[in-house]
Amino acid sequence: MKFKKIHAFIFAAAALFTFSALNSQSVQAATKNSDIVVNKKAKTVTMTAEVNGTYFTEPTRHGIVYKGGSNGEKAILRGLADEKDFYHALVKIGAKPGNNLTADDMKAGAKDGKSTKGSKLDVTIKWKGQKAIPFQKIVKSTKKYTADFRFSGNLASAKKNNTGCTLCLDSCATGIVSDAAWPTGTTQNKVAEFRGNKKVLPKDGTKVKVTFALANKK
Amino acid sequence: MKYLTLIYNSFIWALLLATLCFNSTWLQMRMNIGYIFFGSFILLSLITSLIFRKRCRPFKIWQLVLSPALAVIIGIVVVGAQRLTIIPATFIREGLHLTTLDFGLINLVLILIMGFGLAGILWKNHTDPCSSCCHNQCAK
Repeated sequence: MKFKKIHAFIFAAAALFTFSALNSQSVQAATKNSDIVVNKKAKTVTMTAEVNGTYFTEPTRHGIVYKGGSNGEKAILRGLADEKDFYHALVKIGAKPGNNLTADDMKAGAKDGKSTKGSKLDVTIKWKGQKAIPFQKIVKSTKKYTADFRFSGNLASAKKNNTGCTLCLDSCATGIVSDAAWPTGTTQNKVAEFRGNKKVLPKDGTKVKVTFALANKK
Repeated sequence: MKYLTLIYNSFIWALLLATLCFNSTWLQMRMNIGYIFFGSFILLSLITSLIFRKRCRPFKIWQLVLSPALAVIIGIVVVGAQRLTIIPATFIREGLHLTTLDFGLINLVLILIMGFGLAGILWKNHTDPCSSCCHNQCAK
C-alpha cells in the first residue's frame, strides 16, 4: 500500500515536471510590438529585457538572450524580443551584418580567435530611475573591460540553432550582435570571464530598455 | 514514514548533485540543470524505495541528521555560501520554466522543506514504535 503511495507521489512529481516542460512552449510567443521599437530617423532599435540575477555571481558569455531561445536563461539580460525580429530591426535602420564567422571559428584557441565584423553599434541601457548608460558599465570582467559591439548578423545560424542569442560578450557565429573587442574563444578558453555588475544593475527581474544605435550614421 | 525519509533524502542529494553540475560552467551553459535536479530526484526516490522496500526504517537517527548537514557542508565547500543562495534557486526556476520567481521565495521554500522535513521525520521516528513494522529489518 505504502509502495503505491510513493509511486503515486513520484507520478505526481513527474506530471508536474512534464507540465512545466510543456509550459515552456507557451513562453515562445511572438515579440510584442512594445518590446522592440525601431526609430529609423534616429537609427536606433530599442528592446525590452529583464535582469537575470543568476549572472551577478556566475560567469557567462551571453549579454542578452531571447527568453524563448534555448539559452534564454543563460544571459545577464533575458530579452523579451525575438532575436530574428531584432536582426530585421537592425537591417531597417541601415546596419550591415558582418556574417564573417563560422561554427569552426568558435573552436578557436586562446590566441587564434577571430573578431566579428559588421556595423559598429553604440549600446546603452536604462531602467526606471536610471538614465541611459553604456552597456559595458553593467558588465564585470576578470580582465580590463572594453567593448566594440558589432552587428554580426548570423541570421541563418540563429534560425538553425534557435538559441535566442541577441548580444554576445565575445565574437560569436550565432549572436546577432557580438563584441569585436573579444575574439572567438575568449570565454571558451577562460581568457576572460564576464558577469553582470551587481553594483550597477537593478535587482533580479527588473525590466530594462536596451538601445542599439548605429555608430556611423552617415 | 519510510517513504517520507527516502523522498526527503532523495530531494536533498538531488539538490546537491544539480548544484555541483551547475558549478561546471561548460555544463550549465549547455543544458537546463533543473532537468538534472527533477530527473535525479525522481530517479533517486525510485531507486531508494526499491532498495529499502523491506526495511521500515532505512536509516538510523544520526544518519538522518548527518545526511542534510553533510549535503549543505559539501555545497558550501564547493560553491561557497553566497553562491549557494543563488544556484539552487536558479536551476529550480529554470527547470519549472517559472523564471520570474523570486530567489528569496524559492530559498525560503527550500529551507522550510529541509527544516520541517527533517523535524517531521525525526518526530515520526520517535513516536512510531518499530514493532509496528511488518518486516522487522529496521536500522536500530
